[in-house]
Amino acid sequence: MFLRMQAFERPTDLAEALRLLARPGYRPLGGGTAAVGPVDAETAGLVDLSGLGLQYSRMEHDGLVLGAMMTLGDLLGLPELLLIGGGVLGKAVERTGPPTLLNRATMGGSLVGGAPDLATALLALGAQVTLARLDAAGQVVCEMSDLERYEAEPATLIESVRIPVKPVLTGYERVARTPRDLPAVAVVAAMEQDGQFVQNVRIAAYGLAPAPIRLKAAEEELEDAAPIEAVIQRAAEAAAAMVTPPADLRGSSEYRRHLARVLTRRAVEAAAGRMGRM
Amino acid sequence: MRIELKINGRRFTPEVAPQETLLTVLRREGFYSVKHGCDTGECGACTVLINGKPTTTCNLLAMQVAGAAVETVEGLEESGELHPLQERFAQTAAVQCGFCTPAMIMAAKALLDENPTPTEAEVRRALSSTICRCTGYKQPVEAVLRAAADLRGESAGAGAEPQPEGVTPAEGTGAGGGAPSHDPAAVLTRTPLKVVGKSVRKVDNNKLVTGRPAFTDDIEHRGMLHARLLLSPHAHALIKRIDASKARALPGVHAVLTHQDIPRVSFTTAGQTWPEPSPYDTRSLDNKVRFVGDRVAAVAAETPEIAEEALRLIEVEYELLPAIFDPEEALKPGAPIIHDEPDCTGIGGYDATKNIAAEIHAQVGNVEQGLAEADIVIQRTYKVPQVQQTPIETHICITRLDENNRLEVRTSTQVPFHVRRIIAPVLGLRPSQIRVIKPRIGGGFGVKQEILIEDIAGHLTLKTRRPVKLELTREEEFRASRSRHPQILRMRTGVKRDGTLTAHEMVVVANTGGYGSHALTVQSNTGSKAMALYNCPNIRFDCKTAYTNLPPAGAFRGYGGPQGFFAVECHLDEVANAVGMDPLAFRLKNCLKTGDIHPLAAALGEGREGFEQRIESCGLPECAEFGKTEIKWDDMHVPSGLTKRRGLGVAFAMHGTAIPGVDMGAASIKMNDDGSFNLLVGATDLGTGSDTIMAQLAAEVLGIKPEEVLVYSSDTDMTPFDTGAYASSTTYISGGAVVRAAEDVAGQIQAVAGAMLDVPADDLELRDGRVYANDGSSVTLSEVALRSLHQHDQHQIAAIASKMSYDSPPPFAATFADVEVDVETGEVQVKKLVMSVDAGRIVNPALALGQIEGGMTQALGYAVSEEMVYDEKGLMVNPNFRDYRVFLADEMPEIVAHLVETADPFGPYGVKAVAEIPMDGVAPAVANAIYAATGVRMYEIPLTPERVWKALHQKE
Repeated sequence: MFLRMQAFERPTDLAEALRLLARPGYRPLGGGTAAVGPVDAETAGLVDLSGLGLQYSRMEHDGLVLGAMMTLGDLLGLPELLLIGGGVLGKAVERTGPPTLLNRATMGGSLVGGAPDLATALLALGAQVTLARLDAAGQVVCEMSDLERYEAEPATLIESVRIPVKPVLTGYERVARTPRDLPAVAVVAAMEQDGQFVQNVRIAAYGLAPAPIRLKAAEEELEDAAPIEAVIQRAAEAAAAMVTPPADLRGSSEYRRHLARVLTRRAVEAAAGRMGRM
Repeated sequence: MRIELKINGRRFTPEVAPQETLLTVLRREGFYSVKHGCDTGECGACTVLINGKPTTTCNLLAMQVAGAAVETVEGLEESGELHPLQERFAQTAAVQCGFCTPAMIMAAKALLDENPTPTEAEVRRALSSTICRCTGYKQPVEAVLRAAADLRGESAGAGAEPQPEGVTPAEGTGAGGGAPSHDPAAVLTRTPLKVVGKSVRKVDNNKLVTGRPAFTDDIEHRGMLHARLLLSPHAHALIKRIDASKARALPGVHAVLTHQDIPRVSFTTAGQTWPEPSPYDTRSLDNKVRFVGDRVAAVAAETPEIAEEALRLIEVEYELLPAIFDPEEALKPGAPIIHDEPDCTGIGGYDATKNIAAEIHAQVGNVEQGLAEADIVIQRTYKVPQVQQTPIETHICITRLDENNRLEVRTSTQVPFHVRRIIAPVLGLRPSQIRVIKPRIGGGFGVKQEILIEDIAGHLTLKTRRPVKLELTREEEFRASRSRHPQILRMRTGVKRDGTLTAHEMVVVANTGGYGSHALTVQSNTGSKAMALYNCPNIRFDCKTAYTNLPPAGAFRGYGGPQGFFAVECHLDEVANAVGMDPLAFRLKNCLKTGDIHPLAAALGEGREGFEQRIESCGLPECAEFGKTEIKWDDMHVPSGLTKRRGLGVAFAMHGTAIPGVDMGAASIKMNDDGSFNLLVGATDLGTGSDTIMAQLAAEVLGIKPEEVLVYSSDTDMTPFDTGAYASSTTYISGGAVVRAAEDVAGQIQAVAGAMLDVPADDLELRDGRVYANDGSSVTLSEVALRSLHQHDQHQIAAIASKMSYDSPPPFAATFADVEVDVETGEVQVKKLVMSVDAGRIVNPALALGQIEGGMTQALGYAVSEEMVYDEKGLMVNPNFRDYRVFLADEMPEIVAHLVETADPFGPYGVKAVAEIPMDGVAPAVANAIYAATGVRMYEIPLTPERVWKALHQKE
């Protein structure tokens, strides 16, 4: 419920959208699934981004580029999804919500909260985000983990997300009260195979910090190693040792640290279990 | 701004404001099938198709979809013919309250448009966008699969109404026949029944599957104001100063009420029979707040936005008082006193100076002696959480003054007659100056046996002389309505080595929160249901219900039973284990049997003296046998995996059927020219299908089809009195009144027909819409009606009858759970639930099974995921469906509901209750299955991953 909203704008080019967003109290509107319901006494104007032509997806030589206004439902329908990390992205999107939500929620909106499984998977897959800013500041390409730094900046918009497409092995593990609940902890492990070794290991987790993080200590244990039991165990221990998880109704800090260990181990085992002979 | 929408193929150009949601605009244009349930898109009740895709509309601005094609359920009917989806939903109990039905149908339509041959998993995924609190999803999923087959042209005999499987007559109980009689012998000898026992189509389903305006909100009044409540941000505080002048000055605001503006009248919000056994500890608005969410002020304004803005302009200065949330701390000397005001009164051990809302002591035999005689004594403590009913329609009422200046209260309530009587003194009116109308209700589960908003809306209408609508948001519903009492239960049980119980004791500390509605009676049920299921010469039940600064508890389906049975059924599992007996065999050895005397009924009434009850029917052995086979009980010791372990668990349960000596229902029937009948009942169908049950009972007696009975329920000006829909009473009590009234009418029909056919009235039989003499001659009911109304000795064939009962024949149930536990993470996955219920004679199997399936699903939430969680200041941190976890269609385990039919001598045709007992057995069955899987006992629910992990961890 917007109490003080006076204006609803639907610009048709990005520069105009950014100029509108520079006005006090103006906010961008993607699908609106999170923004529209709750009582809001601050917003003076909404800038609907649906006229900017950002609903696209395109395959480039090394990555899948998704426009910020592409809905998660349309994303699920992309055949290219299966090329990425053994379909892990699709599974993470399905966990994000029921069809009614996926049909409205956008890629861009999902990056700024409300879609922890998806954000974790994107982080593990090494997705990059392209941000559009007002003329002087210009366009920026950043890692998922740097997104937070730009969120506070006025007149900044997520324009697109690029997901690398390369042969990557993944594992995705989560614990929740019910299958569709937000997870207490979710871990996505992604790695490339080099003979009997793995490299470019990226392990991302939700529920261990305020936002999804990389478990770099665990990644280091695995990088250029053969993922045998002892190594995986060390990586899992490293993951648990490096985090100080927050506590909420889905889990205490202690329990989440325990899950960091168990789920890192399981996610890496699942990824390593997909290694083929080379 | 004007936008264009194509709604169901027609062009609309509504004028919309930028902040208006599509939900608001669609309802304003008359598409009432689109429902408001949450504001966050999580409940899904507002789902429509936008350009063919299912989308929620409460979190979508109309401006966002300007130009789009919108489909609602109103567009599905073609030239009066229901769409196959509507038809298939209407045929079964896929529709219970019907509030979310249009949303489910539209989600299913989008699926079938894209995928004509969906799997069950795909159907469940599509329906997962809608929370249904009534059905357990099983019958909706089946309806969608059947409709898909219809649309493919594959259904054998498309349109044939499916008869559910899952009803077994108990042997030797004579359940093959029955009679509307109180004579046990008659139960066994009656000719086969024609309407009772059939899964007839619900009388209200067509209006619900087509989304016609039936609910409280589906009406417009000129000049209607929108009310909002200012809720307390503090758990315990005095209002030192409150200034509403700025709010009153805001243009569009018509009234602001604080405690300074209305008379101070103490009452209870519990909708119970007079004199209510709940303390009078509540005022419409008070100068003290007792929980985060307590009412501080109320506003009526021209739009919801203005009302919301006005709330922000009310200046309140609080003096914070120490708050207390733990019931045991609240009972200690020196604890802050929550009700220190002088104008509170109560019964049943009520002592506000000690924070005691109710205190109960009941004993049979001598427990100390029984413990001394025992070979083994087991003593354990159990804890159960606060959970909420969460009907998808929140509390809503619309008040106005009618042309006679009487206050009309249109409200979503289970207790219209109690509402009228209870709010009258609060508003300074006589009950006769108030008319309460109960339209269709979008679920209740007990939370609408509570008068939470009608008084405020009434005050605002009396102040403004304008119609006022007051509707709680989902967040307000969570923070400020009612919930299930959390309890701490201490069990002590003595047993002989042969498994004979010698002593059985339960000591409860319950938490009623800031107000004591149902504080005495819920807790007395904990004892009188859970502690009475097993024969034992020495039983004790002691309970104190404490006031604290949590949001109040109240009535919730099961009413004390789920709490008690979690403790008793987990505890006796451990006792069985201690004497080396199979938990199922142990239960069957000790449980009540036909002919036994209910051990606690006389000692524990509901705020009044109790009445001794003899168990006239008990199908527990048959229930257990069915469940044992279905869950493969004898395979329970098969080895399971290293990290994922399987186990089976069982729990028994017993409930009541109405409150003996208290509940009363009445019905009136009158005959129309065409041989149809108006049936007026005070009973309130809150989605259970009771209007249909009433029609079936009347039709059985009158020898007609149920559709010849026009059921109207309920309206304090029109229908006879009924205590309301609670305590599993409607089929037994209100149904009993319907049968009596119908028998009276049948006698009047026979008298007229006898004169027409010139035979003695006693020799006539009513069947197939006619009255037959022995020689085969007959007249139609219409001919009887026309003669009596127009031609000869003119009179209205009509009757009114009441029913009250001192007997409360208990239903019984056996619940089995098959569970997988991940011992590394503590995650519990319930694979399968089986519940077999002895609910006496079944009037409508599809509806009864629907009650069980829906109850099991709520009970599954109680077992594993639902819990109201608070921060250290008493603020609920999960007041939404994202964080308060109710099971969705695609999260469900396999559920099997089953009925064992017995015939009890007391109810009409031998009925007993079915609505509440499904709540009782799931949590203990799941906990016992976790023990079977892991060797670890769980003493607290919900069985969240962390709680189970901690228990497993402690064992190591």
